[in-house]
Amino acid sequence: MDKPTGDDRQLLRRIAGGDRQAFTQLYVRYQRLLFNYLLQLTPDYGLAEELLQDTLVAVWKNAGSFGDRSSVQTWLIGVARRQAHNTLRQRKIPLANEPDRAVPGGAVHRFCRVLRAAPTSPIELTIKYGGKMSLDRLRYEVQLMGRRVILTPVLVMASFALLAELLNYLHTNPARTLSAGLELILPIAAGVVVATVISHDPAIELQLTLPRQYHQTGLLRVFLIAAWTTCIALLTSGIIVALNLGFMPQPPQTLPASLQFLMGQLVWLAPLLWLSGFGFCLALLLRSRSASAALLGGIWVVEIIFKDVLAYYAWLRPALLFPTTLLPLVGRLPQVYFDIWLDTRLEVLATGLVLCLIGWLLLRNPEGLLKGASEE
Amino acid sequence: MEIKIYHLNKIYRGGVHALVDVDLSIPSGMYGLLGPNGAGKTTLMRILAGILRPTSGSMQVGEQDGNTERGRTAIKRILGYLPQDLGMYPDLSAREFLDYIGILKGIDERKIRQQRVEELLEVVSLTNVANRKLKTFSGGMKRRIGIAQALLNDPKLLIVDEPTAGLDPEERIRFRNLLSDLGGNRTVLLSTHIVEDIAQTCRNLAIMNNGQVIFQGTTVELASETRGKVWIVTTDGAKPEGNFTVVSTLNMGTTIQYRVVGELSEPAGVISAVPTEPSLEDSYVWLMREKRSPVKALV
Amino acid sequence: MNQLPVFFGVLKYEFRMQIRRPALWITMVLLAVLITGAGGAFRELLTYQISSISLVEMVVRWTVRMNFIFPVGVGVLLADRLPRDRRTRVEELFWSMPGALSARMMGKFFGSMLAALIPLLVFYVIGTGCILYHTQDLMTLPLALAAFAVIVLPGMLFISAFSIACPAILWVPLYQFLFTGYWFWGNMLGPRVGIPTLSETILTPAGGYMAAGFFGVPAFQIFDFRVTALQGMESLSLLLGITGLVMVVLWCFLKWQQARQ
Repeated sequence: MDKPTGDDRQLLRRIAGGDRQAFTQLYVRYQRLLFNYLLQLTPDYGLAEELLQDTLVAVWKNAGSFGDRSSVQTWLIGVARRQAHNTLRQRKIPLANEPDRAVPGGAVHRFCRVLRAAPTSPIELTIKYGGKMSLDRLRYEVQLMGRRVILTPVLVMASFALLAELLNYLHTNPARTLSAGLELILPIAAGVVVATVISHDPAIELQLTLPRQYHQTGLLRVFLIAAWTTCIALLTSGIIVALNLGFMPQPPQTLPASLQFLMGQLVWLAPLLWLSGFGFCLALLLRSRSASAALLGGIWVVEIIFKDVLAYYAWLRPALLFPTTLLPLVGRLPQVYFDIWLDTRLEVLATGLVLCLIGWLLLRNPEGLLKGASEE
Repeated sequence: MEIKIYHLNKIYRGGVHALVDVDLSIPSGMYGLLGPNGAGKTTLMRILAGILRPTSGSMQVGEQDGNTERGRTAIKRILGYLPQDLGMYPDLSAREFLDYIGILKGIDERKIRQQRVEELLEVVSLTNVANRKLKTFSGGMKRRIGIAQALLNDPKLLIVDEPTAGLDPEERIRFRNLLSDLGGNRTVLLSTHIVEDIAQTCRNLAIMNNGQVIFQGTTVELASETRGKVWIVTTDGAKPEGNFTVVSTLNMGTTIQYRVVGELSEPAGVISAVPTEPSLEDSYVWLMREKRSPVKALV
Repeated sequence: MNQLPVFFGVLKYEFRMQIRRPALWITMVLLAVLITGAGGAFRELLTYQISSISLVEMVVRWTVRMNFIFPVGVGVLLADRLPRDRRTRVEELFWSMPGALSARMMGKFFGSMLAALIPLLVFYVIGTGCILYHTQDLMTLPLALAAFAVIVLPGMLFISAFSIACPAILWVPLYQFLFTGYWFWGNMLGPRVGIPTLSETILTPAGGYMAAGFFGVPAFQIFDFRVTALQGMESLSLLLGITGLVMVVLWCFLKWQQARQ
């Protein structure tokens, strides 16, 4: 073992005090060793497994009697030996030497014997209540949403890059087009993807019976989609700024450069959050991905056609999603324009967060989620 | 692990009365839930699993009170659930799916979880296809994965809804043995309309119809209810007339043997009528005929 | 076997399926609310003085206003019809039946498109009713009918064809989102912005050329008053021709896909 033995003694002490985590660690460290030892006592794989479980139960019960005598390893082997001798004597072995495969359901019987034997199985002891968010979990969430979710923002920005190249070739300034791609197209793509993913979870009935709350899972998925789109957007934005093709309003030069850059990112971050949150809510209310996509599309076209109406009324400004590209600086002082622009961006950002919150609240209704599972 | 259900009612929006004043006491071991489609079995199991909330009534699972949010979450931790329509994520492989469900069930340590997944894959004998994507799986394989995921956290309460649907006879027997072996301290609630599955494994059962429990007790009690109502009637070819249900027909060449459940008067053309020991299927048919009075055995 | 009853049968079935979809009605109603609220469409109608513009202009303006975003709804909602057959597992069943693929396809196309047009028609009739009420001129009705047939329908056929056909190869949400972008790019984004668009060509499905050519009313970036009726005809026939072409390509593709299995 590559861990110092002093560590193991401490583990046994903690196990004596009822520490399940310590038991888990000891189990992980020593079970291979104990199993190999038991295999020497009986060649029957299944019986060896059963003896292992008996040994572990005995360890859990008798950890207090360790007493620091010899090494932990020797003590564990001793416990295993005693358990094995007891059991083998009771059973009046030997059993016939059948390989497991020949007995139909051999693995099944072994498994069940093992389950019945232990009053508290090692698996139960390892279950963490209120566990942490692991990297494995994030990986699986992304994987189950499908590769298309990852590809969509990448494809969108790639096509806009190509378009910019084309414009360059035609001797037109691609700055406004690139800004359009970032501000107009990327957020709606994210919104449609969120609506598609949230409106249909194939394993929803199973998910609702698991101890992890489903509203956490749903919010996590929305967050992952938005986060991935954010990465793509940041990358693109960085490239745009580096190539000096920025089409954003100029922040006051008195602020540090990093803050200026961050403020510039509000161009796409605000509509991204807004459209993602809106797609989230639509998916949960309508439970149909086509209807959600249609309405998102409708909102998008309305935003573009009626941009002046939206800019005019103060109470509509939290829904003014695309001012940068559509209502650029015209006949106004840059400073004043920037302040107004920043205000609208923050309003839209706040509205987006509120929409996400509403979506999260809507997720807490399991009956509604189940009913919607069989739509269309 | 005993489950007690008191006066459970469930009314869906639209006025559908799915469960009507259900009172059940489920002991540990195998427990069968029998009934026609639409009887409310799935609704009852969903309420036990914490997916749905009852309109009124209460339930107790072991020491956990099923009426509070905390209680429900505590029940979910010791629960293994296999729904009738098991949907899965088509882009994950079998191993990844089980690993993911393991994470959601709270098995955080990667090594232990992976070991557990391997164990269960071997139990359902899907080890050699474990890396294939779930969308390539057949119906029977998907059901086996469903069983595997239900057992991941070594549940004290196992709820299975139509588990053997889509399994071939060998798999079905295997699965039955698996469930019976799990008994002991655990409660396995098996809901199905394959009477054979319950007859072979459960001592206790409940029969539901139209949202009500029309019988709960042991198979022995159910058989004693039906004793004297099951006959083997041999005729010369004509179907016997009377107030009974024909359960099966056997053509013996010159005569035809009918197994009937019900009241036997003296119909014409009958060569012989022999009373016989009722099977579980016969008892079920008898009870369904007696829809009027719900029977509660003395448990 | 005569394919005509098959065609009508499929049409009726697809129509009923689509019209019963709550998603269809909710979407169309909400789109109507959007266009009414945001565009002030009704307000315009109700406050126009009768003497200021001609009846023709009023009717065409109303038709054009309606054609802004409703086609987005129609296109997006029709996009999942073809993949739905595969999802609900009836595709296999259909292939085993004697009905010809062409009859089924055309039935699906017309059936779902007609069902999607019903809410649109309802809204259109309401608007026409308002115009009628204000002008008290019975010429409104035939004008409205003509305007709808010539401005709205060709475009609808065009986008329905693409919405039924493209999801055979594209992921449905991707198509829906591309389609929305296309509708805007192909109709409202003029080439003045710098990128080449189809907006001011005769290929614009929103009916700009028809509106301008037949009725002399400028719409959808077609501001050139020298647009003739001939150009309107060209636009109409081009749209219808492409519709037919797309359906033929779809038929060939499905046949090829089936043979490959």
